[in-house]
Amino acid sequence: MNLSLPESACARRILAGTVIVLGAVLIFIAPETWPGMALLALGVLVELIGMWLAHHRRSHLKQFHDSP
Amino acid sequence: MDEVIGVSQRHPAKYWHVLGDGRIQCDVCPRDCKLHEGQRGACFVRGRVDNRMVLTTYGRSSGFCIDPIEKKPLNHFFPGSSVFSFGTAGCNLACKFCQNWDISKSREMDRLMDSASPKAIAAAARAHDSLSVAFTYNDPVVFFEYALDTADACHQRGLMTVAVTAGYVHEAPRREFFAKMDAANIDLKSFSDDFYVKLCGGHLQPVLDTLSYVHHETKCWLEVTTLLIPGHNDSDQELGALTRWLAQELGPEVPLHLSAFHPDWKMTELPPTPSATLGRARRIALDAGLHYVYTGNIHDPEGGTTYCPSCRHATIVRDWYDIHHYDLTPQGCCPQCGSSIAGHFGTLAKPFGRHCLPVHLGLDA
Repeated sequence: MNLSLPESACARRILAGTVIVLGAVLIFIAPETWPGMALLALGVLVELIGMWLAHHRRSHLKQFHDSP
Repeated sequence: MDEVIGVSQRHPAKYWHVLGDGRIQCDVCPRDCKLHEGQRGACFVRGRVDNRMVLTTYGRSSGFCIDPIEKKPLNHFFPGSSVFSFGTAGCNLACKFCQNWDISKSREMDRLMDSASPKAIAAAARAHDSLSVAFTYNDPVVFFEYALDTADACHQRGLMTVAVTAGYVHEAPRREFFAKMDAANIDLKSFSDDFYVKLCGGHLQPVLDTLSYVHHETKCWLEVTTLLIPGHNDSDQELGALTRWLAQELGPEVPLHLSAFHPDWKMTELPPTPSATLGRARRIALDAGLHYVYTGNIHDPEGGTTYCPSCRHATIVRDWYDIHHYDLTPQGCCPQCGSSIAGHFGTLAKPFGRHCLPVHLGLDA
């Protein structure tokens, strides 16, 4: 799968914020049952993805030719 | 209004003169910025304080990395070696397709900065077993004084120096700059002045002058890079003119790197350069008579291989920055026919590989 992130910093911030909010909602709505534990874990995972997106700073460019 | 230049950011700059109307003109690059007190040039990092020009980024960097030399890109300058690389911030061109805009367009210097004196950089490069130090990521022309002091410190320690530049520089600083460089990769962004004016905020001729000067009048090893941008500089006509000029003016032995563009900065609506475009451009360059033409930023073992121009033996087989096969004598000759391959070569022990290692020198190094 070829998953490409938005190139603009603004779009990436919006995406990261959306994912973080989604993770928070999942954690919030998870009921105190075993299926709820799975939802809670999913929420934590989504939060981590959101945080990674927020801090991922064009690292893919590090492999490209230097270009002044 | 320009950001105030702090006391710690006032390293005396070279190449400027006072105009009749009281402004002072920066003479480093052909933008010829004319400044009132407190103003910064178009590069943002050279400015006027107390009626003299200063460099605001001396001793500060956007970061240090140990890279493969092939990333600069230099394929004929000690292949497989590592190069201690750094840049500062700012740029004297304003390319709308800038592939490095978070550095070149930076206005937030203090958030970006690592600090290091020229001697500390040379010492760190030596400690990490790098063969050379590269002034790269943003154009070293805008941190001219820092780059040259670092070059002196490197040469004192037996390290070589590499410049990655767009070559947009006036004659006098050009002479001083390239006298202290052992190798350079110069960007030839297009063969159209209109392209330089509309997409880069510069002109073509000073870049052509720099290419000719470096190749014919210095000992600095030269390679050239052109970033192919779909629909803007990738026509058969333009590539034919560009490569014929290189072959005629510089000769067939100057390597040409044709790099793939990725959407960035203010040109995010364009697609990345297709592999087929790079292949077509490479064929045009070879037909123009160039001996060493490479494709970059894609996986293309054919376009990454150094072939002997006499017998077509594959002397260095690369994929991206990995060297899969190295078959040259230490003198840089083809082992099959004995022909000399242009460039600077040594004995390849273990290639550095394609990884890039960030290095933190710490404050006040």
